[in-house]
Amino acid sequence: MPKRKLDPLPPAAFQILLSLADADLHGYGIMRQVADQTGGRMRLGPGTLYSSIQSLLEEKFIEEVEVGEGKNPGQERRRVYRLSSAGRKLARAEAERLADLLRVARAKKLLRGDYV
Amino acid sequence: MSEWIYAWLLRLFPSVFRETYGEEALQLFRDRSRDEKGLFLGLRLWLDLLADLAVAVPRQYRYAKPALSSPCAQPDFGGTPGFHVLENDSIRPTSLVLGGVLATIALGGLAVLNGHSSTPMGEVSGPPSQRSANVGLAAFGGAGSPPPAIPDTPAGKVLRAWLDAFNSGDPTAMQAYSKTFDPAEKMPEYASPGFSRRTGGFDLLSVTSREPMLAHFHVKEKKSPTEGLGSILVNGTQTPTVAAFNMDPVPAGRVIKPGEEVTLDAAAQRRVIDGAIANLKEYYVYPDVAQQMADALLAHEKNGDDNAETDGGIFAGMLTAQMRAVSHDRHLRVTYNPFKTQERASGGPTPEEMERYREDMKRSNCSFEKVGILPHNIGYLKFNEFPDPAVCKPTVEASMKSLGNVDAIIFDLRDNGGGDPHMVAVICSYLFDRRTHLNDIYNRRENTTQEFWTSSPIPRNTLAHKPAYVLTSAGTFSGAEEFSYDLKNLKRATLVGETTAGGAHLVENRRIDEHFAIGVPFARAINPISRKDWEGTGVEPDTKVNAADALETAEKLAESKRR
Repeated sequence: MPKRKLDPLPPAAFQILLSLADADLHGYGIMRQVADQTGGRMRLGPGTLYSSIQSLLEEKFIEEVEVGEGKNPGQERRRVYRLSSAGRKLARAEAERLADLLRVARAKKLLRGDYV
Repeated sequence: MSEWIYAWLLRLFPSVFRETYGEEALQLFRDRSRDEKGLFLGLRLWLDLLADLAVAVPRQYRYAKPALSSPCAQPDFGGTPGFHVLENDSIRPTSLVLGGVLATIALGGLAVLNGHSSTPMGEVSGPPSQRSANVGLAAFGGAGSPPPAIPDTPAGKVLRAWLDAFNSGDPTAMQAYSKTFDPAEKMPEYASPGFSRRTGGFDLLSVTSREPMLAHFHVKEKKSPTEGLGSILVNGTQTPTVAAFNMDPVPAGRVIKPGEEVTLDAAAQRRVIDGAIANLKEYYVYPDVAQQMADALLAHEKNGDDNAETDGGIFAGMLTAQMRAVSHDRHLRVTYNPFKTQERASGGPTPEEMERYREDMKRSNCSFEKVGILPHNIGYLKFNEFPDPAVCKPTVEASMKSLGNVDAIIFDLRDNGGGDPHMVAVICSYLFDRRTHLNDIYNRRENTTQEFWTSSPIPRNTLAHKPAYVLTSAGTFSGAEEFSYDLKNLKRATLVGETTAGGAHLVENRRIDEHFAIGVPFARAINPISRKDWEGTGVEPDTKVNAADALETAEKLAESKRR
């Protein structure tokens, strides 16, 4: 059997899926979005970012979007990534799993607070 | 300066990763250094980067092993450093700093020690295994000058997209290209990772696009001096798609003059069609199918389907497609050569062609790409052709000798496009301790059958009773399929991978006129056990897995059998 890089889903990959949930982004856009959505706690470095992107592409959870030629073709050619329907499903499943965990944590009085 | 340092640090990543994402990683670095100025932010950026290297580099190497078996093969399977990390984030900041610095120093040292070369053992960069016999090698190079500008026409746009995807070596990029620009699959073999890896990509030497929908191009393989001349015809202006594609190697020593392409008129087209039909009827392995193909060619001509085509390469590609639509025979091919060829008395190669073939085989190490011993004493042999034993038998003997003490052997035929059935018998001979009937080849025109047997036993050979595995892919073709099918029917090897391409015919190139030739399948295989062949169906593996996972799977099978 091949090694599964995305099972279980690493936090970085999950964050990338979340970052693409409402917009197609290029690498730096994803990095900034992830930093935003984690309150600055997770700043993906290029290695982690592109390894994760590579795995997600291989498993078809995200796809590359063709972008129109810029003014200077070749100079700022950036790949833009989009969440695929499989990726959306995976992100939802992972979010539900985390929500379940949260419920357990609450039930065990580890956490207090609002419903998710 | 800092960008230079980071670019240098990026070299710690495996080359496969660097080629695909190196530029983007660097771009991300530029973006961040632009946005995060000042002492604190700058320091934080570098700490982030070092921490990222410490985590991502080992991770990449850890997964580099499956990449070895994937089409964009990661070469060195002997000594790839591997480290285990438990998490890819949420490590404490102090550990990050310390780990980052130490790992960078350690890995930097390792990279230097390794020479960080990408030359695997036994690998010799070589020309592609062309399936047609007329591999041409040009004796001059065209590198060094800046690449020519591709005209901004629909044909030029598709050509650029293809070159970008093909030269990236990235399977995903090639898939994306095919999906967008080649939905009708007019050129799948030219956008395959295997072909990209064998050629190393193409340098564009010249391109002309006098009509918006048609471009002629002249390229050189990055890995060898082989040059190719091609043409691409597209449909549609908004998102153009490939209507026809053709590429042929340039014969040795020929100098290309732009605009040398033959312009075909209706009479010239007719002559080529008639020539193709005459050859099909006389030699094609199934007379009834030959007749059907002849009818189809004439019907297309009558419909005026070919009329618009005045370009030789596109016309050849079109006839090929028309014949294959009837026969589905992937050995069948009309080829176009922009240079005039001489008529020859006999069908065999000339001494010059033989000499060129020898040189070609020498450069490519007879297509033997990797010979080595994997962990657990498993022999591994990857070769991409079954070359002529008269030239390449010594290479086979040396390779098999180097695997004399292994406990199991894996034959990697995932990129193997076939070749000479005599070579199939030469290699199979090592797997038997007595003379064994492998295959028969039936020649339709001569109505003769040639039997192929192993020449076992081979003196001092130790492999006759060792477990054997054959790795296959959907691209494994022709002679490589015979090898797989023979061993499967004799229950001598376990086939691991994908169902093969399905070509069981032997093909011979026949001249039509000074510019056109046709590769006519004239004989077919008949297996002495199944009494059948694999034309159109392919050979089913015993263990079906994606080609990319085949090596790992076979290694596990071999390991478990050893225990």
